[in-house]
Amino acid sequence: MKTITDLRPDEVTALLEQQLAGELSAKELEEVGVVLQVGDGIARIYGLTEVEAGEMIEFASGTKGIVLNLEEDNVGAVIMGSSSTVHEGDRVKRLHRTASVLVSEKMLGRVINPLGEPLDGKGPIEGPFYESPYERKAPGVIFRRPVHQPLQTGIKAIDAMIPIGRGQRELIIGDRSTGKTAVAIDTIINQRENYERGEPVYCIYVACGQKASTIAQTVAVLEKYGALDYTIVVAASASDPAPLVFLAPFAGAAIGEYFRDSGRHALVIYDDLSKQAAAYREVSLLLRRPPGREAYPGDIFYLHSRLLERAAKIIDSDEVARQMNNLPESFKPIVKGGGSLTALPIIETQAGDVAAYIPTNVISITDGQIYLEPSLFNAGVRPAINVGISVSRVGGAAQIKPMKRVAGRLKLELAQYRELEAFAKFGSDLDPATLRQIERGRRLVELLKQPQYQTVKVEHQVAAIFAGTRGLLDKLPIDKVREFEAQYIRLLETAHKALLEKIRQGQLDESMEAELEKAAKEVLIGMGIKV
Amino acid sequence: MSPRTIAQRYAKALFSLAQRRNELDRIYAEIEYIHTLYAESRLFRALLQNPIYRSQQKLGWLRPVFAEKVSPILWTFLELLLRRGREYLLNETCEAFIELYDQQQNRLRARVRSAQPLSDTAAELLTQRLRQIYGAETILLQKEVETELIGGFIVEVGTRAADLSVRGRLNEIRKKLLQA
Repeated sequence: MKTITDLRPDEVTALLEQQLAGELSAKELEEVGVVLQVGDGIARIYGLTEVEAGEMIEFASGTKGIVLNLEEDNVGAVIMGSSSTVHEGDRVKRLHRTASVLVSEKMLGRVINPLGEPLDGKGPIEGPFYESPYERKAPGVIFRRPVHQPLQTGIKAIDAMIPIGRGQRELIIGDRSTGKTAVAIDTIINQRENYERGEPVYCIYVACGQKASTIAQTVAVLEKYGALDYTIVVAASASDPAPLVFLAPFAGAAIGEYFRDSGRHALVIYDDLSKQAAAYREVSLLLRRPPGREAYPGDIFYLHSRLLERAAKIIDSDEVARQMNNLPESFKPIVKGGGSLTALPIIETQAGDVAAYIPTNVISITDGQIYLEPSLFNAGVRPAINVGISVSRVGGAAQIKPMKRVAGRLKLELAQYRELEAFAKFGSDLDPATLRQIERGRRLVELLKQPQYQTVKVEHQVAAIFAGTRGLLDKLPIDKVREFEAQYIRLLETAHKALLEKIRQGQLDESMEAELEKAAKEVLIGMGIKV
Repeated sequence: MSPRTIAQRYAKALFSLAQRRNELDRIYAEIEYIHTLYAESRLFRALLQNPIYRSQQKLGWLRPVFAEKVSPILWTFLELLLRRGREYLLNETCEAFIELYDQQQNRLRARVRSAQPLSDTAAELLTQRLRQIYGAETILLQKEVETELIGGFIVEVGTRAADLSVRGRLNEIRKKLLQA
């Protein structure tokens, strides 16, 4: 092997002259900058006069950065990594590409950071890679179609009353420890069925500013329930620099877009956007952008709206999809129509204050919200969804027909129950009709309770809710509702398999309802209840 | 406004005045002298940068040194800078002026750092090449020796640079190996 000492001076000279004669071209004279100031994850750079906003740059140490501010005589950039490797006077190189993440199919089952680098110690990620920019304009109206396919969360209360469609953006909002992440994780676990059937909904879980231990726990849960096979975890923990935290959701969206634009379905969970907003505030203040309400910068609304707009259901026609706006060059050969990207952003409120700045912003952007309440959680109603104020503005169109049929009644009955419940607290001298309404409401609430990680198939949900809204459970003691449900589902699975299959395919007529009723009564009799 | 912009405005004013009076070359020589003085004399630097003394005082100290020796235009200009309290920008103003002059003369400043002293042929080749690329008439080559480069050289023209050094290549190879 040749070492440097083997290099003879005349060879060096020859090399030099050769380079001078041929190689030095205008192209090789690349633009450079010099670091003027560095600190708090921000670098101010002199030079780089032609750099574009959002472009990647590289510092002398190899650390990458993203240009965020173009000012009169300097450039402000965030450092994607440790800022201790960047020094004043360092040279900075342009990389001539907008900041993007390299997506690969092999990322499934992996934990990566927002730059696409593996964090799980399972070795490097293999290609082929597709370059997907962090910041990309959302598809225009002509490339979208209204939401029409359901995204089953496997949670009875959600699938029945707050249905989510593929391509929808549904906010999960609530105080700390009310089960927000649990709802999201259950939804991921429930996609196992689709994966096994060969029609996967790829899931991207973006952990943004969480404790590293919490992230590790979540990953372990996903692995335990076999959900990691079709899931990518993008993690930026609380100890990561703020730029990385605020970029994490954009990385998640960029990865999701790869699946969406190649005609497949993806679900991305941003857990949580309030921490991302705080990280963005930090970066903005350090870049000396003027602060606004709660010291958030003026474009905090745009930050979230442009992120969530990228959730979309793409039109079925491949030909139209190929003309999609702002399609990255690397996607062009693989573009297909009919894909979708569903977004479930999570927002943490402080003491139930949904009127704070960030919650109101995100509520107004999304197509509905699932509101989780600590009081319900403590009363044992889990998932602690407040059905009264949770809504889904577009998901109804995506519900399967049998669910629509049974869930309409459910919503009404629960609404009436909530109204009467307040009365019931004053005493027992109520008329029989009111009493019956209250009793039924209690059983429906019981029916909608569901333990964590135990998702329910949609046909089972329909059957269970049917029994509840038909009043078949009215004579059943409340503490037996769960037992009834289990036996009822077992019976249907063993003796009425064809019926369930028909429900799954979206059929439900009177004869089928009669069959369900008969099965329910059979179970009730078995439990010693007179029907 | 940023210091650089302010300096550019003062420099432009001086430049166009000097051009109109046909004294450009003389002023340029003087400006370049002040620029070197600034770089080399700690006292001069300290005097201009010190915010404790008032501009009038500073003017009093500078007058015997400069007033008779530089062209009247430049002295008036220095007075103006001091009266406006912009003397701390003198260095930037000089730089901006030199830039303007270079532009007018269609010449280019390049800095070349090489591992070994650059031979005359190599320097000539480099000058030719830069002349071709930028279309400039004259190239002012500032040569420096930096042994850490191991071999080869780095050319810098304004905010552009080409790293053709062995060190740069090695770094690239290392990066590629680390990525793989």
